[in-house]
Amino acid sequence: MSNKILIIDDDEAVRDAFIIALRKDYEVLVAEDGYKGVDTARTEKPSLIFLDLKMPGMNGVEVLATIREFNTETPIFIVTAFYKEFLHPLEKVANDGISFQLAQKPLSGDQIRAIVGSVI
Amino acid sequence: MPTNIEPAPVEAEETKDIFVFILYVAGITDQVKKMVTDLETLLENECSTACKVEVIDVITMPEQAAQNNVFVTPTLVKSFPEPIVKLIGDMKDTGRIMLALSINGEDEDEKNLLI
Repeated sequence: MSNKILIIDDDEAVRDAFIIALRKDYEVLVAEDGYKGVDTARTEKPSLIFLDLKMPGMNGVEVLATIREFNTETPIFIVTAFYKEFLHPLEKVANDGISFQLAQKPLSGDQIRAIVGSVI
Repeated sequence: MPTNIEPAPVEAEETKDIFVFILYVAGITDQVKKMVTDLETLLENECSTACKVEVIDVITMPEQAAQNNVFVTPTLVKSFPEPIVKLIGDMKDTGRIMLALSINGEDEDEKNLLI
């Protein structure tokens, strides 16, 4: 398993928070939109993906479904607030059998490292 | 003749002798169903005390996760007896689950341990 971790988020501050939390021990790849995120997931084959749910253009649900067309193994954590209105679009995805996990926004550095440590 | 029947002391004692686990997941998928089955089998084989496993789907009940400071799925919480112990990640590492079971509940400072 590689030590590459992909962050897909349109918010630069969020991407930076992941970089700061993980750069010491992992190779952190970032994508500022869903299209670049899908490309990076395809070419770099990261071991773990953190994916923002609400992004302009291609949203997190669309990115998740697209990545799962060519990669069913890599753990993908949807990073979002734990509110029903945010999570509702994921009900159909889960019912369709597409696998993913949830992580509550905002994540602290310790929480980010704990999640990564539980996978890699 | 008395009309109020108090619960038998034996039953009360049995209620104390139980481990209660809550598994927080993202959707009730086939993968989650297998995780629950594997967990119940492990507890049945390795735990001499009765164990109860509840499953909460965070997609449909996010407030339950937020109230209990669960920030990621999957998370397994040993909610009773104290100390509360949380394990994140898949449940393939049976050693961590057994560690959660073995932590002594007498030390109040060990509440909300994250393994």
